[in-house]
Amino acid sequence: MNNRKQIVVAVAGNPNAGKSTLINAIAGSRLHVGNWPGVTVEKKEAGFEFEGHYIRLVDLPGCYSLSPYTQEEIITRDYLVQEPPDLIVNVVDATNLERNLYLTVQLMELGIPLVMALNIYDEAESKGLRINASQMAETLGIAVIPTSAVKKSGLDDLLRTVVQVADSPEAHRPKRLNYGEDVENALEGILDHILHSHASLLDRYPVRWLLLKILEEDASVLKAANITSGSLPQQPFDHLRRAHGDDIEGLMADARYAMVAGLCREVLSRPEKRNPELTERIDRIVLNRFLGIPIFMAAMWLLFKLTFDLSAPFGEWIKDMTGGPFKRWTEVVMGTIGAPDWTVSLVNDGVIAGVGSVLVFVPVIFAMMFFITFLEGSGYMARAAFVMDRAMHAIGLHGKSFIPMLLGFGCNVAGIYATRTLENPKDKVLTALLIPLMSCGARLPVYVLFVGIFFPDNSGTVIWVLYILGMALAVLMGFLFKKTLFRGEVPMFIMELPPYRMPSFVSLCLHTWEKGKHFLIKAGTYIFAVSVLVWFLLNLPWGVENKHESYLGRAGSVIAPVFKPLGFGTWEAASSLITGVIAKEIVVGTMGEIYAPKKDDEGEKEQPTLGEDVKEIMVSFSGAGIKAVSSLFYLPIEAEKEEDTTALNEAVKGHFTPLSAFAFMAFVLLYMPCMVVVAAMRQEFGTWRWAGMAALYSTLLAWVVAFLVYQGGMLLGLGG
Amino acid sequence: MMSLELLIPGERGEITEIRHCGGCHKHDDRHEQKNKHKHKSTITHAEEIGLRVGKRVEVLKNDGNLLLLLVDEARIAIDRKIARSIMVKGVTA
Repeated sequence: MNNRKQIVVAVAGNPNAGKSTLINAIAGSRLHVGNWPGVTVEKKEAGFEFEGHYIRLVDLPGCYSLSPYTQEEIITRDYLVQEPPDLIVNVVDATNLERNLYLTVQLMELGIPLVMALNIYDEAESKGLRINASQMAETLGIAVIPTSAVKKSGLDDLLRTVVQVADSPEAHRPKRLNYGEDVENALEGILDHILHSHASLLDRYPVRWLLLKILEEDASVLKAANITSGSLPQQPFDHLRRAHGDDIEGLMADARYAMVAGLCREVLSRPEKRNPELTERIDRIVLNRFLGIPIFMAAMWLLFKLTFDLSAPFGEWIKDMTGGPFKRWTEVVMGTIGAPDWTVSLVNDGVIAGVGSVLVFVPVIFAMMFFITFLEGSGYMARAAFVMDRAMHAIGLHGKSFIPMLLGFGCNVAGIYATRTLENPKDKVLTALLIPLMSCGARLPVYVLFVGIFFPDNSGTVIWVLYILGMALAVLMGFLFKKTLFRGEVPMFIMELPPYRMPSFVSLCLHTWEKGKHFLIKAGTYIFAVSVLVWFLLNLPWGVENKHESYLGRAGSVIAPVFKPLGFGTWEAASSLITGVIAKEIVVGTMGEIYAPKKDDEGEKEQPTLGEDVKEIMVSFSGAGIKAVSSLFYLPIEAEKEEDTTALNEAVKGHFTPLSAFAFMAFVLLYMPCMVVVAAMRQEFGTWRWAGMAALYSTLLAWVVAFLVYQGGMLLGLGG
Repeated sequence: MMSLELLIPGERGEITEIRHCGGCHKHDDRHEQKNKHKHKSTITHAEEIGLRVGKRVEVLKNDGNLLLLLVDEARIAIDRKIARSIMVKGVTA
């Protein structure tokens, strides 16, 4: 009795069934996120104690069926077949029972004990749907527990049932579903054959499932089991084909649908008269053919306004902290331990200046992730796809491709991974090629820096123009790609529009954290390392007096002439752009290091004491909060007006004009996506071809656009 | 019997047949299954998401390139071309 049993529970369900909300509600912070081996689909796991048992939850990707077509389906079924869990919790959307049960039926074929979480049950009830859960439980031979993940009801019941079922699995095998006489006869014929020629397979696979897959001539199962379809006895197949036509896979799908439909007739009653619900009323306005796009544009504008207004004061705060107390403290600490001067410079001018200038943007990025998550969670994101469908046709894509592109605004890498939701491989590639034109969060630091210096009165508008520029170029490039590389029909759109829901604040925060933490990790590892590297490149050969003479300076000088016609042919700009390939926010980090003030510039200031520093940190943080709130009542978007004169701002002011600054921002927006994006594309498409293509075309495009901006501006007399 | 495309918002129909349309044949040809890059056919996907023979659908929106349907409790947006290949018979009330 002393060694407690671990119960492995796989959680499966349709997309939008509330699976991740349910898991968050159960596991909360104990959730551990990794990747499924070999693919980049997220794998969430959580282990915890429940009433003396240790439960390990494994979240399977959301899918509609167990056919071997999409990556999500393949992961789910491979996991369930190859490492059978002790039991499966099938999360079912009670408001949409019939469709969800199709997956349930297929899960039951695996013969693994199954517990159904009849989720969103409260909403189903309020819609007037009546589900006879106990009758359904009896018909299917599984436990059915009504739950509401959002309201956290039924969760203890669910876990208690999980423990019970795990204790006596044999009593809780799901019922064997009968597919009709013809199919059952065919299955028996196949079983005979397997018993004779492939008996060892019966240890490796759930028997019933194996027979069904052989009958459906499922290519991946036949291959894994080492059976050629020629070696199978033809009699069972022929008989079925004679009676029901050639398409056995289709026949089986129909049989499952029929079973589900029959079950629903028995256990589900729908209200006679349906009142148009809130979702429908909202959709009438939001999807209106004339209002749809203006509303979408307004929503985007609001997203940007909230993002910048709420985060800017906190960004300022971080900037003041890293530039002030932090530097002083390291100087003091390193001074007392007698560290050599160059190491103090490495930490202050390298690490703190480099990482610090990037950390400043953490609030902006988290705020943007938060609002994008809100759009996803509320259900509006799917409407954006609907509304943008027509516009997307112009570039040879349909509206569904719009979602990965929109996510690209948060982070291009997230966008690239989101192309997985597209069924057609051609769509995926074309969408992925256009995503780097979406201005991601990492490019913001560059804009905010330059806009603050050169366009303090129109900061929001200028940033907005850059985002629009990226989108307009995506339309143009999409059109060109469609005419050249991706000729052919525009693929077709099928998508569910989930009902509007108010996402809970806690789950919004959890998901924001999931998305945003990559940026923090990047700042702590990648950018940290690069900052150190840049510092060395700027200070080597050893004892170099002028940064221009350093390795990085020399490399910058070599390529600077390329940027001359674009208005920023300085070695400083060129060097920052070189390092920016690693991650775009590093452009700012590098500039921060290049323009770091020389030690003796600072003069003797009154050094505040530690106590004063800490007090100042607290006071200014709460000040930032007040500013953030008050700015909400202010209509125009404004990034903070720069009134302070840090060395970086001063230096940038001296090296750029407003026109060349704009050309530089356009270049940063467009040139080669960061290495992480390139690597993600390589991984998603299994070839360097598209990743290389994206890097190449975007850099060329960046040069051309920056050239046009700068030279055009000069011609118009905007050069001053 | 007529195509789903022709229903106007508020009208309901029962799906009687899902026809093959260009590029969306029902189940992919068996020989194609060996092809690594095989993807789910549009019609299979439509069926999984709830558009099947015998289902009742209500058209919520029918202008522009996309139709918005209500199938059971789910709102499903589909391309006009797919709607064209789904046959329905009218249902009153």
